[in-house]
Amino acid sequence: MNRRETLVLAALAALVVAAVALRLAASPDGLAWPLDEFERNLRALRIVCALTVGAALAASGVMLQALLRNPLAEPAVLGLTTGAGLGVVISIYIAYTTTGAIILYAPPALPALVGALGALAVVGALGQRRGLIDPVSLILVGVVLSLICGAGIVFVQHLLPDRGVAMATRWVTGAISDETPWSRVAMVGGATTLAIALGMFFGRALDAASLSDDEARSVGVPLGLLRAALFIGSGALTAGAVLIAGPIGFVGLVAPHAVRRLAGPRHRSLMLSSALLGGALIVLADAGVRLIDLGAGRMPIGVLTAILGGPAFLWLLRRERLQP
Amino acid sequence: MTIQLDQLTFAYPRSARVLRSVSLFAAPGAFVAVVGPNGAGKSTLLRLAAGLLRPQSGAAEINGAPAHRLSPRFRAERLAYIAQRPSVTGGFTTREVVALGRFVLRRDPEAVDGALDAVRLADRADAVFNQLSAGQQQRAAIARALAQVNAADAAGRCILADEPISALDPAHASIVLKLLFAFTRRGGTVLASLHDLTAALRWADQTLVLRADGSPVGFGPSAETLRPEALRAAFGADFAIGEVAGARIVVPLDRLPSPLPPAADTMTPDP
Repeated sequence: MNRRETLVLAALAALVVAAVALRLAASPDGLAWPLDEFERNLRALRIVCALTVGAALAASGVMLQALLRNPLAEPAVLGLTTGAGLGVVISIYIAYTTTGAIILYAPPALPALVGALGALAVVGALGQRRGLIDPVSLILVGVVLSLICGAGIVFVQHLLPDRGVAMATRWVTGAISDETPWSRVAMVGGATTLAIALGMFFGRALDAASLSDDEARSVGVPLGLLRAALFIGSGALTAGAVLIAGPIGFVGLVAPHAVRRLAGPRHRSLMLSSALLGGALIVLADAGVRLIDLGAGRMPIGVLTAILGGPAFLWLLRRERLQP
Repeated sequence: MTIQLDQLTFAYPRSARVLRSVSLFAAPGAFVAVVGPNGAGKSTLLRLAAGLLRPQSGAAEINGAPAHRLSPRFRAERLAYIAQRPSVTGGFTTREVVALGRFVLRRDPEAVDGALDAVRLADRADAVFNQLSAGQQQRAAIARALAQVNAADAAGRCILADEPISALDPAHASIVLKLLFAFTRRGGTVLASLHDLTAALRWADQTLVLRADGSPVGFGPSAETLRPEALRAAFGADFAIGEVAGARIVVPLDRLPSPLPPAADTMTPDP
């Protein structure tokens, strides 16, 4: 890493520490260090969840942008998060019809992965024109797919009794739950750390894959293998994030873009710094929804990220289309 | 390194045939040019020679082995490919793009800086590649190829260049052609498609002339293949070959359509 990349990494690590401290102190009554051990553990759980979800979504965004050569690619815009969410609610429904019980906090992981990868395969296949991925078609297909999967989630939830419908917030908007089991957080956190490490290991290959396909292959990039790894990696990271917090949008877009502007495009540093920034953003968002009380209970994090990230996406969309 | 195309035929899916029974041989130390009209299949031929496409019939071989079966490592060490329109996603600097040529090879900052200097881009090394002009981007791609196959003894290495001077001004085109020529004099092999017929005549040891339908007019020493009758068969236009200041040049004969339009000084002014 060069000096600029190292400085940005150090600054983002400091931001993560500050965000964690803020979230530990954030309560509906303002900022106060929790004296109760139960409350401390609860906040610690939410912090680890938020860091994992943010890092996973940001790293998934970096991988999708490299895979699709599209700076606007990110898990929510392309429908991966709602695809994973649909996979989860279908699995919950199947489990309900066979056992009569509704799985609330630790649904099986495989359906989320299948949902995310299925959505990515559909977007990749339909977002092409004349065999080449078209940036605008890709986004349009992703948005429509996201709407379809979102409607599918609500449809399946209406097949469940009242308690299933009550999960709507979690699987449509995205929120961190106090009830998430530590075992689930450890599994997703471990997988996320491994995926980010692998992404960093292949950082130089991702740099070289930024060349056109022919040029990349001529300098020795095993493009087929790399793309398969990015396909599975981005899907797995999104599925992990959705398993913990449901679909949360725009972190996978905002974090890599901010890091690129600060530290440059090299993927080894981009992957790690984006993961740190993504984690910090979700921790800060969780502190924000804890501190902002509009009188109707805690707001889902997904609402806050959409309100802040949506305009950022529109700004980037306009900027990308204005560029030659 | 030898490049051999033998009765090569190729068509993209759901499209007309691009190349028809094309053969050529480039020996170590040879500069071979491919010329022909737009759509004649020059880019396809270079992609086949680089092993980036698989021939449907005939053979494309590097050192006697099928080009499409070369390992990524072998290709990276010995074969540099320059695309007609080089592109990079993201905000990489020119130096970073040139250094990507050595992605699987030992890092060699001196080779990278030397290549940038050779194509006269040292002063733009820290500029963002995507903010360079088309000609500067083309020179950066050539620098990347030079950094990739950098070696005092270039034998066993080759550069496949798809219209490497199409976006360059005459001075920079001359610099690039001299660099490619110098590479062949160190034992390297160059296969390049060119639209500048004078450049092909001047620098290429041998030239393959293609028709618009992808069939060959001829392959051999440039002075023999780049003749007016062969060029007429390829381009459907008349050319003259002459000599200016000791250098042979190829000039298209632009005959105006008959009947001639009225000369400007005899035109009737608009009422």
